Amino acid sequence: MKRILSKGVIVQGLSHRYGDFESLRGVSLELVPGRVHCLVGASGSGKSTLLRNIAGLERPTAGSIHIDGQVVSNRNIQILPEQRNVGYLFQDFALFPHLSVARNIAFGLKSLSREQRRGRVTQLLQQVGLLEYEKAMPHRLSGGQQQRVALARALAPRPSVMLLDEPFSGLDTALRREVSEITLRLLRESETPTLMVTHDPMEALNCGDQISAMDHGEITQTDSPNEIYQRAIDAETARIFGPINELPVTKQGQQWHCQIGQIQPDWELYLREQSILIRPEMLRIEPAAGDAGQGQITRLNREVGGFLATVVTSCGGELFIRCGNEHSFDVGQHVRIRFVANAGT
Amino acid sequence: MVALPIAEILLYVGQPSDGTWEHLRETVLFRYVSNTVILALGVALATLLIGVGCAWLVTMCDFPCKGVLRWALLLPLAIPPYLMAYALTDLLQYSGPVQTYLREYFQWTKQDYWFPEIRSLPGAITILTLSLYPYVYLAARTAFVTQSLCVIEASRTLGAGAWATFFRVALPLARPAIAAGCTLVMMETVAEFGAVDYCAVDTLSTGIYRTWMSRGSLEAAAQLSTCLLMGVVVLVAIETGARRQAHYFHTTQRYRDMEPWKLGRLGGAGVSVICCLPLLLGFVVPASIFIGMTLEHGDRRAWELMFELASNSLTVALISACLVCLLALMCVYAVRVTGSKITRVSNYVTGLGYAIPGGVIAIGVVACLLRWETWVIDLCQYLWGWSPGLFLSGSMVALLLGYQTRFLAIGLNLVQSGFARIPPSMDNVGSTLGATPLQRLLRIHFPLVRGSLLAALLFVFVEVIKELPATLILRPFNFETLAVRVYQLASDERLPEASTSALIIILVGLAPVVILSRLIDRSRPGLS
Repeated sequence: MKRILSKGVIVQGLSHRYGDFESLRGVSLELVPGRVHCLVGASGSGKSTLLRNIAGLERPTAGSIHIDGQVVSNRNIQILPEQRNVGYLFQDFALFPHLSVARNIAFGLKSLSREQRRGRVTQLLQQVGLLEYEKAMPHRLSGGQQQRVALARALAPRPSVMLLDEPFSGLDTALRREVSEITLRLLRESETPTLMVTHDPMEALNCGDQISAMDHGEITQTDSPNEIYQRAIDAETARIFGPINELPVTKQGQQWHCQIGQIQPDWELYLREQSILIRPEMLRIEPAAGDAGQGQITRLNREVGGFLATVVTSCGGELFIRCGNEHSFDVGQHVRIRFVANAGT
Repeated sequence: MVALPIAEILLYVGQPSDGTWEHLRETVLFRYVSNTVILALGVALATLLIGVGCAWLVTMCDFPCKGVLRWALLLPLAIPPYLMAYALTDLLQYSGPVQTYLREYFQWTKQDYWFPEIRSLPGAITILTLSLYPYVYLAARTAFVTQSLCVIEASRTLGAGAWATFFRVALPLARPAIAAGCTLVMMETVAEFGAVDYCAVDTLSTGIYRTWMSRGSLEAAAQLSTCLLMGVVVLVAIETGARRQAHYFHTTQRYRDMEPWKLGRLGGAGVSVICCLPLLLGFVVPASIFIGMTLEHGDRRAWELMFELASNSLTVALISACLVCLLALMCVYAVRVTGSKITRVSNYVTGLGYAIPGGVIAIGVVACLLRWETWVIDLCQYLWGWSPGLFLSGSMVALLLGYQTRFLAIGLNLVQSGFARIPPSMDNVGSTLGATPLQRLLRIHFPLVRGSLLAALLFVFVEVIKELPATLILRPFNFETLAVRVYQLASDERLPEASTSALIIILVGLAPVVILSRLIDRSRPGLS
């Protein structure tokens, strides 16, 4: 049977209120089949509200939502959640505790014969690697297994869009990687447009094909993981993805300068209005003799493959700098600071 | 000690009853049992339909009068079944206002029309349903309110509409709680005497009275009670099983405020009418009948006696309710701390009391106290040559022991479900921080189960105010309560006069019922 591919989801100018609180302000977004779109932002920035609006669990105050080329929500139309054909993976999985694994997965399957339904359930159980748990009750499963059952249940009716609400936050680190790999592989294979909410920026950078950063109900930037990490639109957005150095800049003739020195032409893409935004790994430190150098290390945090050093510069500013294991540093040591050679990579 | 009266009844089972038991078995036993079963099942089914239906509509939909109905649907709890029987029989019997009006309006005579007989088995089912559905409503509503909304939303995103979600998710999830509520209703039904007797239906409960009162055979009465007890054991087993299952049915810690489904104007009006009906028939109609009667022929003596009667009823109810809470707290906590089998079994036996008719419990209490008194009297006679008289069975001790035996089950049920919500890790944290079991009870468990304790206090308070047979038999000489006064007047066919005391019973029961309803609304997890 030839599958009709989903045409994706288009959200335009969506606004929503909880009483007096404006939880979404004119949000626009496009989800493409087979691609995973991640939403990141602080708690209360409106990520889950956007998901709930797309699912039809909330009613927007303005804007429109198209799923599969059909309007499901605008000023005049509000299609019920059960008629939207969306898959929703809840943070706590929300498995039906009174139904077995197989019956949980079969819950959303309609207009199929008993045999077809069985076939689909078996196929999904196989895909998520839980074939032997077909008859088990949800409370007998571990967190990771419950998550996979919830995924299989959401995928079973072949939804036009998949909405994931912090789907891996309940799992421990080791499980998280394994389960997220299975989940994203299945979603990409099934060509389902996916919107995933996460509060973990690393998860977004690893899982997403596109990332939108949200703040106070607005999308501040939508870009590829690399773009949004390296060239965030402002310091606030940049900070979501980890430490960032915001250095004031001055223009002398045709050249830009900051406290570390002159900024090369190929670095100008990191320039914002009166400053340059650079990640810790774009700077290097080297030991300086005696009290010489541009700064002094005040803190060293161990990371995989090196350290994150906090350096107070001679101008009084604080810089975050990532360094490998090639030099050994100590707190209180004086260092020289320089830009790494290749920018934008 | 509370279980002793029940054990006392069981002691009589093995004793010969001079052929009364054989006579009963050959003649009326089948009728008693079949009527009891039909009555219990009929009431259970009808209360399920009304209780669960109203609870779902009130929790999930938005319609006119919803705010009032939410708590008002509990109001029939304030009317004891025997008062409901008096009121509805008065309204619907041949000489009542409804039939009289029909006859006058259509110029009918007795032969011209058919009218359902209220003094019949279906009549008794109707009366008990109207007065007991709040138990199921309460259980179902609490279950729906505390249900994780995520599961409901998951069902909707998987394509199930409002009705499908109700039948496929919400109802199965609430099943343990509803089963527990339904068991309570069945226990009340099999133990009910006043209303069933007034409707002239022969059940095990009325049979026990007749055997004891008219045949004077305590042994045969105890043997009949044992039949009843066996049924109750089954019911309690169902209830316990339901509770065990409920543990697995609570899988989430995340809750979200619900967005009620808005109904159209016509749908909203329809739902309002449906939800108003049980309230109207179960509370407004009987209360209005008593108000009307009181205004017309009120019991002059009742107003004079009111202060004394009401203070007697209130005092006994309050003391019993406090005792029940204290005992329930001790029993449940003892099981939690020691996990001992003896404590568990004694709690189980105590829990049976609720389904035993008040009169049977009274027999047990009297027999049990008499045994102790005889020992003490013999001892006093032997030592000092003086007898203290019936210092226990003729005093308030007997009455209070009777109430404890009958109502401790309610306390145990509610307090147990309160404790079940406290994870064992709380106890562990308390003990690793150096708290003794008593300190843990006072500083950790008590604040957490306060709500359940208050609910138990209010429930038992209302039940004691309404309780009739045990009060009638066990009360000390010249000690009258509101329920006793109503019964005495009504059994003398002086219903209009009884209406005043009936009205006071209803009024006294109202406040706790309203507070109870508020408690449930605040019981939603995550709500401060």
